[in-house]
Amino acid sequence: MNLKRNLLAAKAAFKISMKIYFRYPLNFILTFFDPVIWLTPFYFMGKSFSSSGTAAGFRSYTGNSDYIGFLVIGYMVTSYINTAFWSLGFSLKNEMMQGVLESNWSAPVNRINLLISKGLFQFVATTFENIITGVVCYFAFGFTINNNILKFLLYLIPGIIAMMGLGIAISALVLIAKDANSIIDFSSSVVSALSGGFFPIRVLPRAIFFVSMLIPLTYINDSSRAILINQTPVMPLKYQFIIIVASMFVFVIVGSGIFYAIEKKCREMGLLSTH
Amino acid sequence: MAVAKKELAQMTRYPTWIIQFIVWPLIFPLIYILSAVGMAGPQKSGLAAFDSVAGTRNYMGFIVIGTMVWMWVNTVMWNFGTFLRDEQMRGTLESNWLCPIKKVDFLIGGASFSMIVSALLTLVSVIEYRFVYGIHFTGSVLSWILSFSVMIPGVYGLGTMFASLVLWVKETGAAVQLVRGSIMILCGITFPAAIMPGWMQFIAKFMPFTFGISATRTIMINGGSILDALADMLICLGEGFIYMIIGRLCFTAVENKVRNSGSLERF
Amino acid sequence: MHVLYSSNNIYAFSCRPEVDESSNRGEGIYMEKAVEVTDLKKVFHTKKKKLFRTIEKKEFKAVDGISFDIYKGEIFGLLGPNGAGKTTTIKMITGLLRPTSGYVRVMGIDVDKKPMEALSKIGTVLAGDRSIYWKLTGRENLEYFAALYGCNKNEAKNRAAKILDRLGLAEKADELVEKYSTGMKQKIALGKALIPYAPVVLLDEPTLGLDPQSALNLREIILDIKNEGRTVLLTTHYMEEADFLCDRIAIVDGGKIIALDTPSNLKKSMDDIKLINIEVDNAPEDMLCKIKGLSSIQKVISRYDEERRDYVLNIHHTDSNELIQKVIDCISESGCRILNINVKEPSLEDVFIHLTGKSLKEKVENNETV
Repeated sequence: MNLKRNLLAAKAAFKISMKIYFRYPLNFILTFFDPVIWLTPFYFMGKSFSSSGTAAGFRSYTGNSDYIGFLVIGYMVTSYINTAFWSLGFSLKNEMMQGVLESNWSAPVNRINLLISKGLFQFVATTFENIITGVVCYFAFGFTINNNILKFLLYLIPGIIAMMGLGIAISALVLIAKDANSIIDFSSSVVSALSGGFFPIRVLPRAIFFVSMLIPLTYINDSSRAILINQTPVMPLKYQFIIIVASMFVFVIVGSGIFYAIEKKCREMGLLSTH
Repeated sequence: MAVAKKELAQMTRYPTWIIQFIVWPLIFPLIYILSAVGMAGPQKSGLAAFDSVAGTRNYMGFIVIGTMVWMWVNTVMWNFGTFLRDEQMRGTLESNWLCPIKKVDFLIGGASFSMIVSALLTLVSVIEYRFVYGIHFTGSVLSWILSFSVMIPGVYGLGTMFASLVLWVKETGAAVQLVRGSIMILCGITFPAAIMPGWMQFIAKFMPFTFGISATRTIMINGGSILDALADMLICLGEGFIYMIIGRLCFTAVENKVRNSGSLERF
Repeated sequence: MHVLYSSNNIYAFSCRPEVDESSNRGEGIYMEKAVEVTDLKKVFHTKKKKLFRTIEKKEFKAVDGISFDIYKGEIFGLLGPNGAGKTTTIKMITGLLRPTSGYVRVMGIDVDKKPMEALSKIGTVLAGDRSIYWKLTGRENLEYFAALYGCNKNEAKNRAAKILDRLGLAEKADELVEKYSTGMKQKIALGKALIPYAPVVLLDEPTLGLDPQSALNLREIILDIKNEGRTVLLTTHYMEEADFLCDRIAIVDGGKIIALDTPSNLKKSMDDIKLINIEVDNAPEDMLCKIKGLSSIQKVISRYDEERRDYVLNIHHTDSNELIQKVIDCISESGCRILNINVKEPSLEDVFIHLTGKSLKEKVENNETV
């Protein structure tokens, strides 16, 4: 009975996230423009460092001079990171500001279940947006990938689950943080950058390179590029897979733990209706 | 004044303003600088190509000038737009608008504060780039101030237009992305504008910041004088004033529309 | 038959099932407990900081040992001024706030130990019209919350339709809530509480901000809920609402219950107390002291009426009406003018003022005698 109720609630939460998403049409339309807006500066930057259409300097770091493929894939993975930090991470804070958090939490439904269901929609939306990104970038920048899609999904899916775990932890922390916007803005940018979202991590000084290697998201970026556009990975792919799967378990368990601890604290301190 | 004072009091009550002021100016251009390092290659083989288009091998200085301007414009625009949006979400916009002040003045109060904050942010940035990234800036401080000042009318104008958009569509995020993205692409923030196709360079000429950034780079990176940058500065100033007029007109029009439809309090 | 009042205007007559008031606690026909609140306490800690250092720590007791039981099928009211602890109590009952000590049982289930099970027995309306999604329609809101309570798609649809009909919102059901009036938003919020068909319904200020007719409609619905055999816990600022709807009322002030009984028993407790209401153009301190000094005066409460721009003196005494002349003399000697005077039977508001020294709605200059 509990499982049935939680499944019904999950479905309902997923559905209303979707309805609310489409009721801000400008956000949806932006999906078509966002990749162009974000990637164009890098595209032109790459051009300004290229001669005769070849980025020789870039090739030394990555194995080929497909800098636009590098950037588009980085953009797609970064979208998932941003979803974890912002869409999922801020969902509870947004509900608090809208005044509906207490309404949701006074229903007999597992709270993580509600959060994950709404978050799941966000990740589905991001996936859909990434597909659109791929198409737009094909026309705008000549972006192409090979046909190793299944292998890519094998690496991506545990990676997304890991990011959901991260998002759950952030959503709870955001509840008790004042001015969470600045913290999240900063954190998501640093994580995206250090995980190789926009540049080859080999350019980093040694100490920071080491930090990058500790971030599981680095391996999602790197393995995606190795699989889809044949760039040289920083480490053999099988090891990267193990790291991604292990981080999936770690992030989900730790993320849930943080969520429950902070939820309890919020209920002790009476913070659910404040912002 | 009252609005600016309120904004300052609110900002300093959140300790994270330190991140905004000190850390962010360092982190933001770093993404582009490191990308440029990646593009240049370990032996800097790509630098020659960059020099031929940008007129300088100092790609770090080139990028930070652009990003400083972008952060300034972005901060002010964001504050213009979210200022109203935040009041809307909190349900206090109507309360404020019931007060006997011109609505544009209400906006300018918030903007004046963000102008001061942005100016301080730029100052902190310059200091950080000099001592942390080791970038040498040419020219005098006065000429730097002048080159940034000519962009103020454009910033105000764009900010007012942006605030109008927010009042109308009731969603900041998307509007911010579109406007800041356009500036990022068209004004040569992180790459030389000359690399863009002709039609984009033509559109870029209608943005005051294109000329403002070019003037600032002339003075701060290429060792040029105010005279060398004068043409760019005058065009930037002229276009900026036109933006101000358009911005004011847009705001008045949208304010009337919103009052007619009664959608001021809805988010 | 009872008269439904709203803001001193008589709007309608309505029938209300008579409560057996033979027992002091109004237990009568209500034997089983729906909600048990036992020695509930809630302490908040606040810190004052200067330049990242804590310079002061304060403790605030929002609820200081509240105990009460609500019996099945009754409407129980929590009455108190702002900051009395009503909303804090309701939030602890729903598990949204953890008590510092004490416990709550709903239908025999401990809220802290089995929160999900307890929540399935409660339908809640929280104060304010922002407890629902403005970017969804009324129908979508109700269907969503129905799903959270375990209704499948068809059940949710049917229940939402029935409740929308009952609340008179069927025509506007498919419009976004952001376009609703305040009254309509409150109705949807109430609908959210009704949709699970829970045995206990918690209503936190359900008629706040509503026009008299909408408030009246909502009160009728609350009575219907009781007639269905459900239990209602209600917090309200409106004395006449509490007086009319509630089988028993707990008066809360400073985090404690200072009185708990049926409305009529509470009014009877004022039997020995007589009331004089005097409107004067001014209420200087020395005049009030003189009146307080008269024998048999229990309390003198003065408040400023902003609408009429005069002062209303509420005088509680145990003497005969001969005291009135003495009071009039005190006022005349102080050079103040009497604008209106009436002797009345104690209402629930008077009970409240007598017990707390405050009015629910306005700030009162507290001049009570000890």
